Amino acid sequence: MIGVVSRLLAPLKASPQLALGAAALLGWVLLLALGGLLQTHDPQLGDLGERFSPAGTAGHWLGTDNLGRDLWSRVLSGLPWSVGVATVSCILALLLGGALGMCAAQFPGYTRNIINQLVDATLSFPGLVAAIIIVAIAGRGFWPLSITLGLLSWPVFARVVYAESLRLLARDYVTAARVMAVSTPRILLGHLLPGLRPVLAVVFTFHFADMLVAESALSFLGLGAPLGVPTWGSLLQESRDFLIVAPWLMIVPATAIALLVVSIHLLGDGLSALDRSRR
Amino acid sequence: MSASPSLLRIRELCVDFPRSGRVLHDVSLDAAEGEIVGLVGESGAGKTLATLSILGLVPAPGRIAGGKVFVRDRELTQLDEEALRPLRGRLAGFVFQDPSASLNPVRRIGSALIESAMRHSGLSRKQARLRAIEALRSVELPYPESALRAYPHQFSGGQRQRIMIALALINRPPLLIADEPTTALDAAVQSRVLELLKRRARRHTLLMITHDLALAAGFCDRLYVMHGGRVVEHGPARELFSKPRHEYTRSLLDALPGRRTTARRRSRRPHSREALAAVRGLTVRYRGAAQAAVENVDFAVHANETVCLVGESGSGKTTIARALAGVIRAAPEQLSFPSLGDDSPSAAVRARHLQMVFQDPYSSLNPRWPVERIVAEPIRTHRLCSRPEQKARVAALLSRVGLDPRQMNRRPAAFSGGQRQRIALARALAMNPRLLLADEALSALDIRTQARILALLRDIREERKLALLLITHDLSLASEVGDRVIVLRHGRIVEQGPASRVMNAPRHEYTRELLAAQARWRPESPGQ
Repeated sequence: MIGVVSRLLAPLKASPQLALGAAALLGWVLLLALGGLLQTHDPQLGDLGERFSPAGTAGHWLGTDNLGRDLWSRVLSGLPWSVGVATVSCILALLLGGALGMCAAQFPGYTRNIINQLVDATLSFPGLVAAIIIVAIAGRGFWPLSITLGLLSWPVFARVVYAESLRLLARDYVTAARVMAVSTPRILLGHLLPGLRPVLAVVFTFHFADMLVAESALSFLGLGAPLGVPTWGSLLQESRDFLIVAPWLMIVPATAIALLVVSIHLLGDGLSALDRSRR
Repeated sequence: MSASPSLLRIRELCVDFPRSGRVLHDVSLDAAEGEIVGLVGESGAGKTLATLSILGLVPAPGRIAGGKVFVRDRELTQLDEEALRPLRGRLAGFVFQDPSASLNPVRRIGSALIESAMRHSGLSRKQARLRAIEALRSVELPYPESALRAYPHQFSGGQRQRIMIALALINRPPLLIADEPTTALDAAVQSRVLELLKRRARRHTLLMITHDLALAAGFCDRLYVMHGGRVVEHGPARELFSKPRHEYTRSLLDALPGRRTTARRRSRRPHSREALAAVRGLTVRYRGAAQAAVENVDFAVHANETVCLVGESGSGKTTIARALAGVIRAAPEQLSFPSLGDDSPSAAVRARHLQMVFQDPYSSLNPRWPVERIVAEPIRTHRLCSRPEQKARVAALLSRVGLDPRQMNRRPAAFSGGQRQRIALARALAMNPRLLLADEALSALDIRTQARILALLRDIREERKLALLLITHDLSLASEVGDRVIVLRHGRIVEQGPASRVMNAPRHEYTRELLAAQARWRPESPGQ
């Protein structure tokens, strides 16, 4: 048991960046798990007597909004929604884009042409318009929103995976595998996929941040979270009206987004550094 | 030599790196005006580092820990970055191995030349342009005026190296440092670039770095032999070549093609009649290419013989190997494996019949996989033995190629180029093939490593009765190991026959040209 733990911890010791990223992510996971317990107030119930309390006020240490609702509790209650939408849409985009990108690189000819056309078609589609149409048909809510974002953003992964796969498939070790009559799926899963990992980690972290912001844009249009769910995006959008009187309304959710993105970037950078050191 | 004034003096130069400690130990070197000095040694000997240190270009985090460098009696190691920068372009010009990597692909030739002349020689744009044309003319590049407007990709490798030399010389530095300037070039082009360097060197001092001792002996006036960060021997080139004093120099000389002690054993047994692979009228045309990469090529490889496919880059050698290995699809009537008794063998059958070792030992092994998994890949793919036996099988293969089986859990990065080539060989042998293709498998290796891998290949060939198809650009290597030699040019066979006949009495003009280019700068090995 101790052996397993120390083996898992070894890379963390080797890379301080990775250790920091992992620690930060652990913090976010704890917040996510304990969110309900850590909320000091009901996120929806305002006290008009305490509206626009600035950050640092006793009892409301991150301040309150225009209806006197506690910002700390609202940020916490929005966390699962925002993180969930970003995670699900990213994973969907990764799976779809990764698989299609790898196929386009491996199978020249028709397959490659069709996939590349599909990428171009998806990219040329105005994302928001498409999202409006899909959500109008499918309805609002967590799953429709996540799937919509995933379906609209997979070309990012497909493009990167395609380019990187072309490079990796030209390596001699892949040719050697072909000379050894290793089957194509085995080459893709055994040689190509591990080689794509560092690139995927980087794209994933950037894309995750994009998805957090995209969720906020759709929520602003009324197509994202159902009313009453204070996602980080909707918190940001609501803060706009009070930017001068209550800047903390903008600063707090923006900082939360930034912190989350930074910890994911740290993790991604740490992972790719670890990968480099192993080579 | 002693009469001409000294241009460069290096005295007891030491360079330290924080992790590896001292990497250059008390290197001393002299170069007189107009002299050609060769710096010889294997990769990692510190040749490049020594020359970079002259102008304070030691790559971070390394630092000069001691010693002095004088150029025209000016001491350079005490100068700081600010004082050195303006001196660099004027004191020394650098020419590197790979001309395509050292020229910016998106800039015109002229902009690089003109900018350098303006910055370092303080010329106006007009003057700099004239100087650039003059520089290109001096390296014998045709149409220098229009060359200024061209991009690097519009020139051949040899022309690009000429442009690099023009760039190095445009500010008329007294010292020209050439780091393996012709290693990436074909024999004939190499010979012409060397002639050019020799002519230019009369007005400059040339410090040439090379791993090719024979070339250095024929080209340079004096040689310094480096090993492990030290100068182990120096002296006049011819003398050092014919009477080496240091043991290391002797071992380098012994590894030269034609002098290797292992080299003389040639398979004398009659080859079996049945061909392992036969190529008839093989033609390969890449999509979009005007010319076929390989056209109407005929040859066969029989059991227990070594066939060498010789040609310069672009002659279609690799294309033929890839067609044989099934990486490129060839028409079935153009390629057959008579000994298999099957006209269109399945990929798996073909794989067990024929295996391949590649040129670049760094790209032919998956950097993420431990050695055990790499060598076991064919075993697992073709279920050659049960899972529990696999480890023992891999260990046996590794010890056969001269590696310690206990290292099988390490990744390729932990191994040197020669060791990686051994791993690649173990992987190919795991299939127990009857024909082994070696596509320039030795050309990325140091000369002594090359000799060792060659000896190993030969032993394994004898032991397993393998046929070997060795693809190389190196004629001397081909004559050394091949039973038969096939000379390729522009995708066609120009000559084929027994190795001794092709080498001693070449019938085709092109073979004679190749032989002459290769012998041009290299003196006959002593003791032959």
